[in-house]
Amino acid sequence: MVQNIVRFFTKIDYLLRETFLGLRRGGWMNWAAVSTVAVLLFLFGASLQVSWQLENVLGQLGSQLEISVYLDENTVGESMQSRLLLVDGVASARLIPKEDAWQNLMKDLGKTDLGQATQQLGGNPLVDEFKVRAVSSDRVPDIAKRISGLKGINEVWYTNEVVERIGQLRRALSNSSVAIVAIFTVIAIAVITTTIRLIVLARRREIEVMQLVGATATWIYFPFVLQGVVFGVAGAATAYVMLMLSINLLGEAIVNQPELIKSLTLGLTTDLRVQLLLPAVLLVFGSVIGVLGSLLAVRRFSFNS
Amino acid sequence: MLKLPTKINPPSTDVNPNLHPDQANPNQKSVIVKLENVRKTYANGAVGLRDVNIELYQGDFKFITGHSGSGKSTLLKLLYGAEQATDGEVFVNGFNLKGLKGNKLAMLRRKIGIVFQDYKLVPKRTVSENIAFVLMAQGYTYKEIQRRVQPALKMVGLMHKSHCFPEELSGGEQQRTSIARAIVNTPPLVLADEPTGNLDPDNAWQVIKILKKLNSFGVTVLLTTHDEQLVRAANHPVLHLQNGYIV
Repeated sequence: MVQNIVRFFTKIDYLLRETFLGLRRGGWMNWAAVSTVAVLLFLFGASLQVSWQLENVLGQLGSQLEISVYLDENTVGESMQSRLLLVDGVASARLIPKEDAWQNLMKDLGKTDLGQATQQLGGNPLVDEFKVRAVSSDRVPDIAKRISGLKGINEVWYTNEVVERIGQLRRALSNSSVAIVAIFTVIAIAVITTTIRLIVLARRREIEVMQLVGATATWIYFPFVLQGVVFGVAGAATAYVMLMLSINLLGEAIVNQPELIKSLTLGLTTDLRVQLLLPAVLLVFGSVIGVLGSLLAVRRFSFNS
Repeated sequence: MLKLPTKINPPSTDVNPNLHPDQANPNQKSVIVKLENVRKTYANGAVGLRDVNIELYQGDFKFITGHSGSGKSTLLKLLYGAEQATDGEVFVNGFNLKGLKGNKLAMLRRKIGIVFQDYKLVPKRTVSENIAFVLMAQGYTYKEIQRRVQPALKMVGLMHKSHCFPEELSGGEQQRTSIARAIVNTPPLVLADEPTGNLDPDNAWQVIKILKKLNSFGVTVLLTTHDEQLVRAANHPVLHLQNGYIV
C-alpha cells in the first residue's frame, strides 16, 4: 500500500519534471501561445462583462411603472394634466416643465454653464414632459398606446420599449462577440497545437528512446498535454489581470464624468460575478483550449508511433 | 533461386560444440525467439527478408552476419516491433508480434534490451540519467532506480563516469552506456544492432566481452555485425544472411 503511494507520487513528480523540461525547451514559443490565449480570453471576458452590465441595467429598468410622455412643442403642460388622469389605469401624472428638464439634462451631461448652452442652441430645445405612473406594470403598454392617441402628445416612452431596445443591443453585441470569440478560439488552438508540435519535434530523440525502452504513449505524451494546460492557465491569468486593469483605468477615467455614465459602468467592479465567476470561467476556458490544442498536436505523433 | 529455410544450429557452423552449453540440451530450454516463414517486403517493393525460419533458445548467444543490405537490421526490427512482417509469424518472449502496437508493444519492449550502432543516448542527460531513463519511463521509484543503476554501471565499468554527458565520452564509453541502459531492468533478451560498427577493434572487443558476460548470467544475446574477424574471435554460433535469406 505504502509502496503504491510512493510510486504514485514518483510518477506525479516525473510528469511534472518532464512538463517543466518541455516548457524550458519551448523558449519564445511559450510566450506566443500564452499571449494568443490571453488576447482571446481578454476579448471573451470583456464581452461577458458588458453582457452582465447590460443585464444589470435591464434589471433596474424592468419593473418600472413609469411612462414618459413628451408633448408637442406648442402644447402647454398644465392643460394636458387632467386629460391624462382620465385615461384608464393611470395612477398619477407629474409634469416636468421644459425649463426643469433642460437643467437636469445639463447636469447629467456635466455642463455647468446653462446660459451659454441655451444661447448656442438658440433656446431650450426640449418640450414639456409628463411622468405618468401606471397602476400595474402589465397595463403599461396598453396605457401608453392610449395616451399616444391623445391630441397634443408627441411621443410616449415606456420602459418596455427601452428594455426592448437594450435587449436588441445586447443580442447584437452577443452575436458579434460570439463570432469574434469563435475566430480567436480557433486561432489560439492552432497556435498551441503548433507550439506543442515544435516542442515534441525538438525532443524527438528522447521520445524515440522512450518508445524503444517500453514507455507507454500516455507516459510519453501526458507532459505535453500538461504543457498545453499551463499555456491555457497562464493565458487566463494574464487576461484576468488585463481585465481588472482595464476596469480600474476606466473607473479612474470617469471619476470626473457625469452621474449617468458612472452609474452605467461602476456597477461592474462590485459585481460578485466579476470577482468570482469571471476568473473561474476564464480558467476553465483557457484550460480547455490548452488541452484541445495539445491533444491535437500529440495525436499525430502517437498515431505514427 | 534456391530457397533454404533452415533451422538454426546446423552442425557445420559449430566450431567447437563442447564450448557451447546452450546447444547441449536444446529440447529442455524454452524458445525465446521464433520466426516462422517470415517475409518482409517494403512499400517501395524492396525485399528485406525471404522465408526466414529461426529459433533462439533461452541462454543462446548468436551472431547474425551479412553484408550491408542483407537484412540484418530488418530482422532485428521485426523482433522489437519497429517493423511488421509482411508474411509469417514472429514470436518473442511469448508475444506474437503480428499487429502488436500501443501499450502491448511497450510491455514487450520492457522485456527486451536493445543496443544500437548509433548508441541513441539522450544528449542533455548524464550517463546515470540515460540509464535511469528506462526505469523512469516504466514508473519505478527513485529508490528502486538507484538500486538498479549502480550494478549496471559497475557491469560496464563506467561508475567513475556516471555524471558525464554523452558528448564527454568516447565512442566505446557511449556504447557501454547504451549497453548498461539495455540491461538495467534485467531483460531476458538483448538485441544488438551492429553494436561495434562505430568502434575501433579494442573497444569492439570490450563490448563483446560485456555481452558474453551477460550471456553467462543467462541472458539471451542476438547481435548483428558485418565484422567477420570479430565473429571468429568471439567463437559463437553464426547465422549468415544473404539477400534476405539465411544461408
